[in-house]
Amino acid sequence: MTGRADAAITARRRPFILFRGHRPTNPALQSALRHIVVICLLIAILYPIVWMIVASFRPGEEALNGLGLSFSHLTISNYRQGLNGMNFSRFFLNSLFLAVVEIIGTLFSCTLAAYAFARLDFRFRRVLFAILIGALLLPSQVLIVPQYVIFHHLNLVGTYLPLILPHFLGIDAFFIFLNTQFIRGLPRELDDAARIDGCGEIKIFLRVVLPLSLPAVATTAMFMFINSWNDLLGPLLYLSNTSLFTVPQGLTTLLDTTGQSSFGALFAMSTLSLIPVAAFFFTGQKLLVDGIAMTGLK
Amino acid sequence: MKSAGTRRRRRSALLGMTALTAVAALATACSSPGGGSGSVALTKKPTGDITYFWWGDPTRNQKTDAVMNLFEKQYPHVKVNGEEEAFTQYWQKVTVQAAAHDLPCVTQTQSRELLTYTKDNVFMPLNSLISKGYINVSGMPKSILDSGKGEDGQIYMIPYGAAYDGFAYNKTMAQKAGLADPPQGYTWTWFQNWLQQARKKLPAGEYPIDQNGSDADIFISYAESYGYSLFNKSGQLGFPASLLERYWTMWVNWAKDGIALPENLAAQEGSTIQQSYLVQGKVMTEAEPGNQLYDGQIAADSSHVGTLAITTHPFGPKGLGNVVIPSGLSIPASCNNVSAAAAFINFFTNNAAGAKIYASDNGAVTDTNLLNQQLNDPSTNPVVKEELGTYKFIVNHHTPVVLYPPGFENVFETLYPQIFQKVVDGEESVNAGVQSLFAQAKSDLS
Repeated sequence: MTGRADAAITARRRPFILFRGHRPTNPALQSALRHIVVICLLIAILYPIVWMIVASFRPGEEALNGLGLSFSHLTISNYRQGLNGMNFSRFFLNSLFLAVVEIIGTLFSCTLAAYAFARLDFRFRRVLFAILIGALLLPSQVLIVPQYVIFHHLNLVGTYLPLILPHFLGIDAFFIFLNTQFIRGLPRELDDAARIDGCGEIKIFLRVVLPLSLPAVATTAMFMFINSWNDLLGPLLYLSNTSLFTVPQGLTTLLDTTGQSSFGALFAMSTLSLIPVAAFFFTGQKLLVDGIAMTGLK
Repeated sequence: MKSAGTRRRRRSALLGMTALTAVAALATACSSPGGGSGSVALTKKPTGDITYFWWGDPTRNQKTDAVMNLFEKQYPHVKVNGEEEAFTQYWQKVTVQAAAHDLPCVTQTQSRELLTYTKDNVFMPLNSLISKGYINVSGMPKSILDSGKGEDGQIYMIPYGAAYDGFAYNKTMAQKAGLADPPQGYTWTWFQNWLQQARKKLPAGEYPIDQNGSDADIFISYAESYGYSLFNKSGQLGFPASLLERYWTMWVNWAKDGIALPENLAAQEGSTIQQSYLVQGKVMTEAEPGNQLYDGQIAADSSHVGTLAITTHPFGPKGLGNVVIPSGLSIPASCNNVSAAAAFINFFTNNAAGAKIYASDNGAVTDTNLLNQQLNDPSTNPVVKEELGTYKFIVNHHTPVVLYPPGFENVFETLYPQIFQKVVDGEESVNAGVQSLFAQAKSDLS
């Protein structure tokens, strides 16, 4: 009885074999097959980006020639056209400035709000947290017109303030939620220990909770940077002066369905716009790993 | 029992929140809205600043800047601030600005979107500005001017550039296939025969026509050429279902016979003229706006596919159904410098030097005198001349005026191509597809 049960269990656990009778047993061959599959997937995923980079070095009129990676000759004229002719260097600086300020604002407001929700006890805390969760479900399109009306009445349209101010006021419900859940996972004993040493809530937040929350802070900063860098609708609505344009706005000026489009410059500037995001990700990724490895309890 | 410290913290928090709310309310109350009421007296010697907002590519933007500079030389006390966006992003922004009544004093619009902004006091009627001589429209054909009217019959938009949809074709490809150019006044029957001849003579991989069955603008021409309006007076569909069935059946048969490009290939075509199959030499004919011919020829030259030309949509039993789609300039009701806005619109639509610089970049110039000047000017690009000549031919015939009701875009820009795609893919019969469109249009256009 037991033997039959064991055999049944073993049969259920036997892995599915695609090609019966030809299962490779050589570990090196298995590894090679796995690598081949992964590399093929990687090529499929990365090919459009590689194509775009190659097309950015083709002469403008040849930018759309075929799906291959061939080119008649390399040129950096598209990069020159974008950076100098179309003022993209200015757009990059604008995007960088906005991204940095928005990250600072988001981290300032979201970490404080998260600490309050996670650690403080105040009236209507649960109600407010439920409202926060409800805000996550609200489509952003619902808020576009009311927010514009408010900033229009405050005479802030045409400046960076409508893009920056909300981040200092904790509008990013997702990041507040993320940090709240992370802080809730930190041991309260550390807070108690700091309290015994005479720390108030602010010092507990700054000296105990915030340093331990670096993984959540790094994640918040990383996604905030990506959101800010790629944001088109916000700058589109609030910025009219070309000198204030961000990179996504600048890229839209290169593509127009009613007139001429500069595909070569578009690909060139798109290539350059990927670099900060990729660099920030790789830098933040290291921080993430280091942060997770850090622990306050030994 | 709560400690004194806790009670103090709560009082501080409550006081802080109250103070913050009071500051926000005060700031809102003290701030003034961006737009004005437009109640300043009109003058033909305007002063002050205005903003002109338009859509365009970098080339058009440069031309527009040059025209603005010319205007400022003529009106030295007026400063025009220019704002531009690409077409798609333009409408995203205008929609939100209109909702907030914060549109720039000179806002570009188009006849297809106009009716959405003639309600709720977004745009102001311009009839009094015209009758008092602030804006001169005497050189504009009546049918073109009428395209700037709202449902109440008042003029809300002064057209300055008239685009039209036609069939662009590769003359070189047609000649190699031994085909003559479509003559003026050609019919749908002639067109079908021409495409069938092309199918027999074009090499494999080249198609006589792109799959344009999902292009609602061609159907508008088809309906008008059969004597039907797209919309009736109550804003509902104004043509019978049998007309649309006949039209879709034509395109489905063309696809089956290899005359029209297969739908799976058509679905991969990009949205700009540079990405079109016409300029890549894959199709001989494609529906294109007339003002895209110039850019299309540039792209065709780089691909070495030959010379392009443009012609009207075919004639039907009731004549030419080609609809003209003008772009024009409007003044929002919230504008606080109507005099300057009117002066700018008048200049933009009537000034000869400005028209020469702009060179009909956003459709043929609507003033007939300026149009003839550009046609007769030896420096006008031959491709542009062809576009303008076709426009003149259209305007000299009956040019139907279509009032596009709100909801038009949802029905004809979204629903129509979706349903047609199912029909041409065989997922739905023509009859079922047409019934589905009519049913959904009834609720969307109400």
